[in-house]
Amino acid sequence: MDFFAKAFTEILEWITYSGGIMPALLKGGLVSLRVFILTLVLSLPLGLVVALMRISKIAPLKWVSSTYIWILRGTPLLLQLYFVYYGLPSMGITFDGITSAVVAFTLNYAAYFAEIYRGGIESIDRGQYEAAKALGFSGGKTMWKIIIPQTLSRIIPPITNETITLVKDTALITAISVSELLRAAKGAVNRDLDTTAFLLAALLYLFFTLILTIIFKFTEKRCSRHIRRES
Amino acid sequence: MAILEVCGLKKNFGSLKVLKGIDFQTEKGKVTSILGPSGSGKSTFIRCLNRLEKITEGTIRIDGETLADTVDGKVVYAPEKEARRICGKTGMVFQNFNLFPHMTVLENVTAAPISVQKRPAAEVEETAMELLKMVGLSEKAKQYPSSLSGGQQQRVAIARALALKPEILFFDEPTSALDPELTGEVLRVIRDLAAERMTMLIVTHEIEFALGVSDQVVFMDGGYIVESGTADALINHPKNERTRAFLNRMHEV
Repeated sequence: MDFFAKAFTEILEWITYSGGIMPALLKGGLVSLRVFILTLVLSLPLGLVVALMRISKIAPLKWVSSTYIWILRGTPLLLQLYFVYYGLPSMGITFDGITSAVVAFTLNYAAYFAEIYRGGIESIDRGQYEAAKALGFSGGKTMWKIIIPQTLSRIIPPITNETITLVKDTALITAISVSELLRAAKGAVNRDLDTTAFLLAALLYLFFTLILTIIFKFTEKRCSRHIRRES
Repeated sequence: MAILEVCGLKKNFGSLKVLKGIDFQTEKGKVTSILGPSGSGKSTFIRCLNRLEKITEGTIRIDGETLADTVDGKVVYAPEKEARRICGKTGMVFQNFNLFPHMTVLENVTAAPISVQKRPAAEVEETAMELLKMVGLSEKAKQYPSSLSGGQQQRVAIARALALKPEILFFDEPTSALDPELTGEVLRVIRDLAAERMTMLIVTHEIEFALGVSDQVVFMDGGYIVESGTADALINHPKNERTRAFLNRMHEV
């Protein structure tokens, strides 16, 4: 009986402790969430612009876009973050921590999204372009109404992957002293000499990626209504 | 007046000369079949007529308007918008149907009239439903192409091309991708169109069909039109040696 009583008190203490540090963690979590949402909202369309430049017939656009993708995918994201936060001020451009994070992440993720879009667009059969042309669609309308809608069901799975990676990459901004989720957890661990905060942070990340997975699954289903599955 | 006039049409793919000088014309209401062995340039010829291939030399006039001309040995196309408008008088049916898989059957038919020709959606939908009825697929209007058979898809493709109210319709081997038992339903639709005096240019291997439906048959080989004439004259009394050899081969199959 004594053992159970003891265990019960311990669990109770743990819950009380967790409840105590939770507000700080959630506050950090909101910062992470903000960076995540802003990055996604900005990088998804920017990636499309980069992708369209990459497949365009105008050589300079192609060149600029390939170079952009090469640099942004070829250097560490953390380095890019440092560059925006510590490097740009020497050129007279100063951002606060969160803005720096959003700028660096947006530029970086746009490069990855661009390659996903390009893959999707290039996977569409040439006959679709020919049919559109024969029906009188202009180049722009062909892209918007015929080609891009068909890529959706194909690009959503890789975009889901990148998006989940982005959730975890938000932890990098602890390196430029922004109080996001991981930094809040580390603060609690250092202060209380108790690693519970790390566990709670992990649960928050997991919860968040779970929600994302569900949202993307639903979207993927909606975008592939036209594809017949063998049952 | 000629609805389609082609003079001295040449087309090279790099150093490969596919069309070596085609002269052709057809009038409103006429059905023309183009026969010939594979590699003779029939598909390339038809694809040149709506800019799917850029020509190397020659003149193309559609309904009296110049789509492409050759000035001082250089091909000059009408300006993009103008060219698109002139090509708007043509419709095309492809070997592989090329329906838009993300749109329903009805949307496939209405997309271009609504967003290219800017016609009112209600009128377009009504016309589209009539066309689908004509090809016998009005009950499939809300389905996606993936749930249709090849023959049904090709009939939708014909309705889609007709929805733009073209003056002339091009068929690029419309039954070659179909299982033999499905070609009949597509050929029947084309026959119905011929009965309504739709101007058509049909690249095909179906000789019996060509004989029955065409006012004019053209035989191509090696990048040239080798022989042309009425269906009966060309198929039953071919003058040219190559035409005769081709027809014999086809009959053996």
